[in-house]
Amino acid sequence: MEAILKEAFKNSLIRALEAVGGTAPVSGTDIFDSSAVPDSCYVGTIGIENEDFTGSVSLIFLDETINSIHDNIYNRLKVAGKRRMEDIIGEIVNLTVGGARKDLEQAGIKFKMTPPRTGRGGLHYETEDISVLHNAFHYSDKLFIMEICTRKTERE
Amino acid sequence: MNMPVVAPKILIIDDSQMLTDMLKDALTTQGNFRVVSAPDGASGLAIAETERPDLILLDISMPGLSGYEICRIIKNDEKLRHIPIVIISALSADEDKEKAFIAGADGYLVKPIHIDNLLTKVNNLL
Repeated sequence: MEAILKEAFKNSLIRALEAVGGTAPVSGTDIFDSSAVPDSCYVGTIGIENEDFTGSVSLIFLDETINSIHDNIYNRLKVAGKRRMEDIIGEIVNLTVGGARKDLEQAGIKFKMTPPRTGRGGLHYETEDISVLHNAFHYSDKLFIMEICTRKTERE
Repeated sequence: MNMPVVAPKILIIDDSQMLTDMLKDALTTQGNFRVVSAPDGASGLAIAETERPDLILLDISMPGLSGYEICRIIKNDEKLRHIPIVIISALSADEDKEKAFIAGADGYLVKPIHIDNLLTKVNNLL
């Protein structure tokens, strides 16, 4: 199931960024240099939950990556001014999870999602009861990470 | 002498400044509409009262009142209920759309919104 989730969120993220940012990100692998991702990145997170699991989907952007996305969006518009990065990140993670929800529903996986939360942070790491999947992406050659955390719901 | 034609006015209610900027840009440059906007439901309702837009583009997930609630309030208001409401949301499941139409929405567009689809939907409802 984790592989299905990852594929759906990955495809949705590519569609979302291509639509709003004008350029599709290039998906890398789940193996990347984690030291290249500091604990002070911009992070957008949405909680996901159904009867089988609880978890979250996060997008973790280096400053240079989100700056590049911001500039690509606003250079194409006639409106002026620098916008809040948190707003852009929140909307991208919202589009990613919202878009994947439809695809996953068709695959028989329904889930509820929370509103996006944004802030500063870094990667999470696998623990005994939490599975963490990562997928590295490059947007205009700049790195960002998609992180999917899931914990199976205990059944009586 | 012909009276000048006044471009239709569209109210965008969405807490995402980025999405609002993108929609505003498309509606004013490609659609020749006048656009006003609000970042939340409460101010959106106030602007709907004062500005009397020709159509409302309404997000669902916002702080405070949800898009469903705002839609119900507008459709229960005699002075505003004639205004077409198009929901614009990242929520794309069938049950989300069903809830929107039950609340009285006249259309539903899934984000990310393709500008051609937006302009077609808006023009069809005006």
